[in-house]
Amino acid sequence: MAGSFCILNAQAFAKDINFSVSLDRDHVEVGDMVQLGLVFENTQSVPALQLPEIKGLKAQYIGPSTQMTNVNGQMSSSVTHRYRIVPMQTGSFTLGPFSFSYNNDNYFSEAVDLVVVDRGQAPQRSAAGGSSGDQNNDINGRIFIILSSQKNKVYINEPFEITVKMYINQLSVQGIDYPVINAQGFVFEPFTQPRQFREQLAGKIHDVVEFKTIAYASQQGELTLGPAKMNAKVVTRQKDKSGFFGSDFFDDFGDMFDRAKIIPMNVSSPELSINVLPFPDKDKPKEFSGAVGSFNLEVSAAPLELKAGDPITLKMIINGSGNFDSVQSPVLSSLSGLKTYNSEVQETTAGTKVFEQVVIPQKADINNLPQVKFAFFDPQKQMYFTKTSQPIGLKVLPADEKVAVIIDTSKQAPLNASTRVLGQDIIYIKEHIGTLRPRGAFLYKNKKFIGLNILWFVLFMAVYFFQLRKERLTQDIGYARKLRAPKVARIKIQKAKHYLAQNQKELFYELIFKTLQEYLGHRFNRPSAGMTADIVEELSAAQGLDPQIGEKLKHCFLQCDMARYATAALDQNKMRETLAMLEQVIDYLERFKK
Amino acid sequence: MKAKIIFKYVIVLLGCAGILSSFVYSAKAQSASQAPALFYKANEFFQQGNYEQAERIYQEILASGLDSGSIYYNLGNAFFKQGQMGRAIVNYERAQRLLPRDSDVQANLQYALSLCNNSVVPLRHFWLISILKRIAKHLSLDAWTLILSGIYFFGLLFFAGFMLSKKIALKKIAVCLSCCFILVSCLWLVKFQEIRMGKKAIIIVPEIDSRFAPSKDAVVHFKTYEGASIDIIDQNNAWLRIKTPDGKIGWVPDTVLEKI
Repeated sequence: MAGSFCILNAQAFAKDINFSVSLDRDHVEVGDMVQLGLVFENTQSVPALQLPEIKGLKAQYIGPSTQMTNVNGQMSSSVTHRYRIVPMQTGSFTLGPFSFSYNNDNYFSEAVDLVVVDRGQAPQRSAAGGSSGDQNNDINGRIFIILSSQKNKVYINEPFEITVKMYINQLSVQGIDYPVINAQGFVFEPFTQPRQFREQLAGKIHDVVEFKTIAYASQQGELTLGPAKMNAKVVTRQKDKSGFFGSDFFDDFGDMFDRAKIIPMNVSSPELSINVLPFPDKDKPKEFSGAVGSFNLEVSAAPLELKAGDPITLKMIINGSGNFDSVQSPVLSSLSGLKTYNSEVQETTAGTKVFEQVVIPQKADINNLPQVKFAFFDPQKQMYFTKTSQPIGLKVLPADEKVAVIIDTSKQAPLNASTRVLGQDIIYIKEHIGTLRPRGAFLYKNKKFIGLNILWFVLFMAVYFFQLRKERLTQDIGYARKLRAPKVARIKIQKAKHYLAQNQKELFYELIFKTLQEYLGHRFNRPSAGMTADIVEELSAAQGLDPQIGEKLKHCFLQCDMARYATAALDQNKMRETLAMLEQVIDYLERFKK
Repeated sequence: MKAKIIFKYVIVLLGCAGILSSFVYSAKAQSASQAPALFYKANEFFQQGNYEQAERIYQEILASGLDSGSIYYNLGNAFFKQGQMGRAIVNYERAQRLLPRDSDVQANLQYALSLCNNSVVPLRHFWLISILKRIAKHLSLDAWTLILSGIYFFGLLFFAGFMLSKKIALKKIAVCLSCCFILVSCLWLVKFQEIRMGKKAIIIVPEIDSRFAPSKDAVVHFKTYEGASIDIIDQNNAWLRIKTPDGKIGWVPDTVLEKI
């Protein structure tokens, strides 16, 4: 009930008014409401008509709705006067044809039929405010494409017309794109400007947007054409039935309380099967090169009086109807005494293709240019035809000197008169075999060569990192001391082991103390002399060391202090224990990343 | 002091590696004891006018997995004398890749081309590409590869020298070599593109119809003649999609052409 009547104008730029009539349904139950629309395209100033009385139907004017439509950039306008029709009895009714006069012109619409049945017998219709899925299903049936072909049996390269029609039944549609046809083995010309009109299909009036193009088959066999696909945007209006404005009362206010919703649609057509026939072998002329259609040949040449060796331009014009892409250059029936160059297409317009070919008579005894032949296949008559031109008379004078054999080195200046003869034969073979090498063995593929180049890079990177480290050692004292710490400690530990073996307690503990001081000083870039048991705790906390390691460090320092005052209390086991502890601490600190 | 010693050490090491690299390629040519004998035998047949036999022996040398510019050149001559212009041009083109500055190869190639009915006007390239192509054609791909590799080697050497000694002069040389490296890389790429293996071919039949589709029933698009140089851009079973120097594209059977 709430659907708006968008009319895609049949002739967007036509000055005449198109008058049509539409019903939103053709089957309705008694007492139910159906909406009648009188559509006036290309105008918005036609007033509402007074409907004639129809027995069994009650009509009431609802109001106008105007529409601006843009299809492929073309604007059009329309007004739809809408009427509410309520059937009071069952039966078949014919509404219209309607007529009206406007600006002294009379306009007539077609008639529409309405079938009224008893309640509960009408086909179900989806509600305007139904679910999205229901709505899409409803829309899908009201917008569709039909792909049709002028012929379903064509010859290779034969032009034939393809039509794509988009049918729209009482929907507002915008942004219709050109169709895209999926087809292998076909070549299409661009689509022509779309045409819009109305068409009755399956008892319903549809707005139709029609696209046409010309297609050619490029290979033989049973080929599939399609599907054709088109994108369009369908504008629907929705009501919230649960809301205040959802009641039937507000239907009379038309679209005032409706909410527009744009649904992008991708509509596909069914496929077509096209039988592409090969060219018949029977009576196929040897000059035939695939041209299809019906053509005429015109041939002219200039100059007609010349010296041997001078060029003549042969102009060959093919005109007619058919596939001009398939038209190849006509051929000369004889090439005796002539040097020819490839013909070039000079001009291609609708219905005409012009070729030019350079021909050089080599001798003075040539009296005419031979016939030019052009063969084509006419699919209408299903026959080959060969068009033949008359020979063109020539007056060829002897050349002033020996006719030059053109050595066409670059092929860019074939008519350059200053080109000189360079030789009449090839230069003799080579006596020596030259440098032999494996076939296709290019240096860039040689693995050893590639490896060698990689080696250069690796060596370069080694130098780079060596230099980088050297510079850091020079500039970063902390880093240098850190690297030096374990080396110095290792030497001193060896010496301490020697003292341990000789049981030289004083020297041993003195060395352990120094080693600890120096190692910690280097490791944490602090003055070595300041490293004592007192600052071990502070150092552990500052560096985040394991508390057990801190304890061990402190223990080592205390043992060293004790050795100064009470050497007798320390035996070799204690010394060994202290040395092991020192090694554990150094080992831990070397692995400690900070 | 230490840096100087290391610098010297690196230079000696890189120098040794450089000498080693010069032997890598020449080592390939050691296994050709029979080829020269066959070559001279083929030349004798050619002198006697037995071009077919000469061609067979030249092909035999090539089938053994070895080649040289002279073999291709002589084979081209043998084909030329038998009237097979397309095959002659293929072999002259192959010879030209190995002997880019050989005037005999160029003369015979141009003469063979002039005898073919082939007046295609090639598409014009961007001016910079044209200049690069003009320079690149004077040397073979291997020669450009060696030059590129040499610049690369000395570039790294001078950069390394600069890092160790901090001498600005070495840095300047290294930067100059980097610029040369970029330029020669462009030339190498242009040359590489020109001789793409298996992508360039020559038509070897007198005349062939290039069609819109890979089928003998497809519409003829244009004609191509013997000796025409084309690019192979695609393949569909026994059909090849070719592009002519003037930019036309069509399908031809793979038997009508020979890859360079």
